[in-house]
Amino acid sequence: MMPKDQDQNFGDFLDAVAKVTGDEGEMSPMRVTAHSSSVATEDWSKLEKIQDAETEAS
Amino acid sequence: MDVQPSVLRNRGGESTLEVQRSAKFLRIPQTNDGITVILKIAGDLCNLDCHYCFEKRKPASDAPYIDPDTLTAFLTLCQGRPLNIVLHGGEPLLMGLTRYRKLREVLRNYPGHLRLGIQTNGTLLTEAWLDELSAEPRVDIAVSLDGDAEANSHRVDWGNRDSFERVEKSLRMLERRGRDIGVISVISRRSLGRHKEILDHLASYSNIRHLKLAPCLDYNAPRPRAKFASSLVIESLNSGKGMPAWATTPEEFATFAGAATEHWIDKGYFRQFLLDPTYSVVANLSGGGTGYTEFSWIKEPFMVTLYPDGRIGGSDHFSMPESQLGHVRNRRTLQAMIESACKGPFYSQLESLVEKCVGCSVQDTCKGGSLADRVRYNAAGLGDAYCEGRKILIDTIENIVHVAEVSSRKVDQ
Repeated sequence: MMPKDQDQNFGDFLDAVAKVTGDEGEMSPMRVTAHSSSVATEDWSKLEKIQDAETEAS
Repeated sequence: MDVQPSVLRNRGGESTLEVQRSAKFLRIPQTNDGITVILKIAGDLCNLDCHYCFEKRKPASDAPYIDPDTLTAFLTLCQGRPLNIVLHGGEPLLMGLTRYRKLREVLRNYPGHLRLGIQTNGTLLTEAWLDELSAEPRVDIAVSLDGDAEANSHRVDWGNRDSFERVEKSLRMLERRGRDIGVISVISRRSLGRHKEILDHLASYSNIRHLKLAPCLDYNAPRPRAKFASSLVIESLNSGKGMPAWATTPEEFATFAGAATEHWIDKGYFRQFLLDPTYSVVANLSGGGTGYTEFSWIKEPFMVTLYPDGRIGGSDHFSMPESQLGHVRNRRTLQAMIESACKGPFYSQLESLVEKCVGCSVQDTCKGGSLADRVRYNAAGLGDAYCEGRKILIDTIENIVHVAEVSSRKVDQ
């Protein structure tokens, strides 16, 4: 489980989101999972990528 | 003081080529494209009788569980294409470990790439089940919990008893085992105004990585089939016409999601879990993409559902038999079923909905929304109300995120 980075600010978070989603390019159908009240196995592992991107940036 | 440019580069943007192309036709999957498959492994069987459950409003299936032969027949029709499989119900854990192990063997022998997840109500999760879901092929776990006890009070068993404490125990077990999970919280009328309580409660679990707030946009919902304590309560909440007492309007959901977004930022929960629809809005505004079908042009017909009796339908949020694609006995490939269905009236209806998005001010971020919700709202003559709610949702989140971004960057300097 990842430690929470209490120093991370929201701007860093947004930068990391933009980097991660930009790196991935067009969304693969394999990543499409959720609609309304059906499925929640959306790409929550993406949070790790976002936090990794922030670590690299800092 | 100079402020860095916003990463939300698509804010207030004009229509893009992508949108115009997508809006002309719903994209049809190619043979090698991945497909999301909702496996109704326990059919509509569930130990809960949530007041707002849509699964119980569908025609009942004669077969209670998907058996290995039905699953094998279905996977044969998939021809080795990549599959994103979600074990679903009803409550999928009602299948029991013995039956599940047989299905797992079938899945293990699939020749193509598989990604596996489960959506469970969390009341039946045990250490043994968790061991099983952690074995190969590993299964991602998502739990349905509407937040704190008050917000969760529509999630009851057949005796109309609250399920909250049982789910809590499972979540703590998952936390102890270090299992990261996603959570879906249906935002019902009881949730409105409780965004802080809901987020604070869910943030108390260190292993929740994604929280999806799902609007409960029921309208003209059919009444339940069974007559138990819970269904008697459901009858009192739903006349079958108009908006049931548990439902919210698109605008109410937008207001809730905006308030939740502010709290998520203010409390620093963005460090702990992703929040949807906020994350999807931000991803689209940043020029990237999201896997959430309500904010992606990849939606129908990239989602199919296998029912225990062998019927194959579109996304499980659609009614049957309207969205039925075929049956495992048909011996047509899944690709042929999809292509054939896309020429039929049901998908023509979906396409006409998406065509209305062209020229909309938020089309690049909204990307068509939930087609199931739009079909329902359109049938009630409320299609414009749905789209207006989406605009409010996106504008609200966009503004909150932008203000927080500007503030954050000023502090940084």
